[in-house]
Amino acid sequence: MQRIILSFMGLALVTTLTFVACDSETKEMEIEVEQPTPVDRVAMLTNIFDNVALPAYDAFELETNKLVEAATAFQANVNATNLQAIQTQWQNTKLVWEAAEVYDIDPINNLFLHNKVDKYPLNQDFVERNLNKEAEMIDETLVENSGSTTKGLPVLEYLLFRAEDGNDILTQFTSGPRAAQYTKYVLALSQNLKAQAALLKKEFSDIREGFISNTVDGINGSVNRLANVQVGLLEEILRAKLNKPLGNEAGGVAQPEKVETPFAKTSLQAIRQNLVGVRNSFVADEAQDNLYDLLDESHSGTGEKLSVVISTAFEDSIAELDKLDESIADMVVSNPDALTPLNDAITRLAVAVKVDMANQLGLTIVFNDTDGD
Amino acid sequence: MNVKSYLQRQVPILPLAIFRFAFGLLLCISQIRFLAKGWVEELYLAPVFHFTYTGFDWVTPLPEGWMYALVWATALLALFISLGLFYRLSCILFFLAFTYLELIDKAYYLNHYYFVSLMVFLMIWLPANRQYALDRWLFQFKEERIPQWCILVPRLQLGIVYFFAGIAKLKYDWLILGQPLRIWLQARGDLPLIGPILALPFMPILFSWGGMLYDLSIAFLLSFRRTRFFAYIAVIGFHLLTFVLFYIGMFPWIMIVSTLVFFEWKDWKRLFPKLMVPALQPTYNFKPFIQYLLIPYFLIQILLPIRHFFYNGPVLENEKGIRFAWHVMVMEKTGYVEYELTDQETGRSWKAFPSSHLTRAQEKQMSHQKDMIVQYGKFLKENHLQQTGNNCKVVARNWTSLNGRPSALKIYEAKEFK
Repeated sequence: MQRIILSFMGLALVTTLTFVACDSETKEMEIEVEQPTPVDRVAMLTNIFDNVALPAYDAFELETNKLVEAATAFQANVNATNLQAIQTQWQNTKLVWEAAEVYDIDPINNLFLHNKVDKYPLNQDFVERNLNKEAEMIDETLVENSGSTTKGLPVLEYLLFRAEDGNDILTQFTSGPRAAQYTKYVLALSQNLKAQAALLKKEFSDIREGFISNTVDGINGSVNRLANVQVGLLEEILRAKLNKPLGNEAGGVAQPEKVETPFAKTSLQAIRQNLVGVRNSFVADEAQDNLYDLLDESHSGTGEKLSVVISTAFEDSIAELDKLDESIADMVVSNPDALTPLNDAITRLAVAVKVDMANQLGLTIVFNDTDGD
Repeated sequence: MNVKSYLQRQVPILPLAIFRFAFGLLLCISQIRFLAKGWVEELYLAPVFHFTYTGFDWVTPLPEGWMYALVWATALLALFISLGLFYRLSCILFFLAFTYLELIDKAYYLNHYYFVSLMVFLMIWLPANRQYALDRWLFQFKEERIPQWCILVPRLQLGIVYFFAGIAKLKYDWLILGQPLRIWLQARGDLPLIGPILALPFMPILFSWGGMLYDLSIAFLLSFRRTRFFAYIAVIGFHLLTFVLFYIGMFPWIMIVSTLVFFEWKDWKRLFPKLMVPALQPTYNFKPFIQYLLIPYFLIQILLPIRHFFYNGPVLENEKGIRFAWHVMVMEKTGYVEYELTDQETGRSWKAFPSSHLTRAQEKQMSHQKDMIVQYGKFLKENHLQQTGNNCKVVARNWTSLNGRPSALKIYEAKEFK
């Protein structure tokens, strides 16, 4: 018996040496020589939470308060000035929201509050059904009990920026057949957004301790969860916000109506704010430990630092976006090629985060936890 | 003693019976865990597209009720295997059902699922129900001794798994760079107590070489009576460590339980002196074809893991021949794929995103495996043809990062999708 096993062991040794000699794997990577600076993960997560994530929700709540004020003033005095004021406030609220959108992090995402704030496209039939109700029935309770596609920022946009057949927008609120409904719906939607914003801020504040102390590796760690929402939003920008209007679901036929804000035409600025929001989640307070420091900690010691690659990709994407001076809805019809550099830049950014960062940090960019290997 | 007489030596069936009990029980737990995690819905029912294996396109998920019934059935059959009840039939049905589940989608390929299929296939031919089994009581079996080779069969299978897992680690990345362990251990630096130790700069190399030597030698060390006990302690320690450090599901437990088969009946008798091991009982009679079936089987098992040496290029990059080859935990690889489709009639081009049809788990697996990228590209092409009647040209851009290297772009041109 022993002879048999020893023979096998001898064979194994010979085989081993042969395979080592024959190994032709890529060898371009050098051995790490630089000792990385250790990152205090609790400090890093605290920095992200306290200095960018919570302030993002805070800012959104502040804007929704102003939105209710504008809606109240508009209801009290329906005129062009107040319409302009609430339209401007809607835009401010929307853009601040876009910067907070990335923080739909587990377990906040389980509450589906982001859907209640900004789920697009809206369900036009359901919105019209609400508008056709008696004006007295339209209040914050109705909105709260409505589905996600019948409330939130997209519905408010629909009411404030869309002109019904031949009418101008103000007429809809003054002498249109459903003027009272329009006005009340605007106020109710604004009030509901304010309530959702307050709830979001409270719920998010409540996860603070869990978030900053959850330094473990793996799918449930805070870094992993954050990376997943960062990747999720970057992919959402590419797939839905940019390429859907370009026709990725219609055989290349432009679908301008599929832009994020088809009536207010602020889709490009919305994407910009998304990018700024995701970038903020990397930088936080630059003077403290942040995600870039974590990337530097795990840098192999050769080649360009991934923190630099990602940082540059953010700047490139925003720069490409700033070069565009038309709305996405117009560009997909008149000059779709103009969007290509932006598309490419955001793709490079998504690759750097989803592929390079995930690989370097050993993250799991997937929402289920099926076994590995 | 020559080889033939060694293989034919009559030995008590006990080690095989213990293996059957423990392995079957673990499979039962594994299948119930699968159901409890909601993976029937998530992996089989929710996806609108499945990455079938070549030649197995006909393997598709059953309707929802049947799918759940099937997975429950595998749990029950595994329990039957454990108890030795209708053992052979249970093994056959479990093998067929479990293998069917694995063949539905190669995105869900896992080495230990493959190992389960193989081991249960082997168990069909081994008389592990002749003792300590309900079948013995039910069918009045008398046999308690079997030829030695019957116990060597599962050991050989395990030895192949470990040995080729060791061979798969004989790579520059693993041995010299300490990758992917450098990435994984650093990410575990915050673990209480052991975290700071794992983060020490030499640990990836230590773990890499330790893992490689463990894989190459453990089956041999378990085979020697003198080293067996310590080797099994190493098995437990090694796999518990992998359980703590990595997300590899049932794999550590399957290996801890399976390697029990290396213990001789005398070892068990020493541990449990009251264990009944009758000395003179009838021997199980084998039909000779079983032995001849096993020779080509093991030949294939040896050839499959080395087939990638005959393909061009590094296996970790192109992943040709990486499945069914025991490349366990040898790489950290991530990827991103986007497709560009051009309608041949209208000339219009657009980007297609895998998330339109794939789950995140499928997309993640596809993102670095060329055969799956091509498979999904062909699906997009066919889908467009069915919807519009027009042909389209497909180009895929695929960025992958391997073991911490910067991502590299590969472009798969239209000819790949014909």
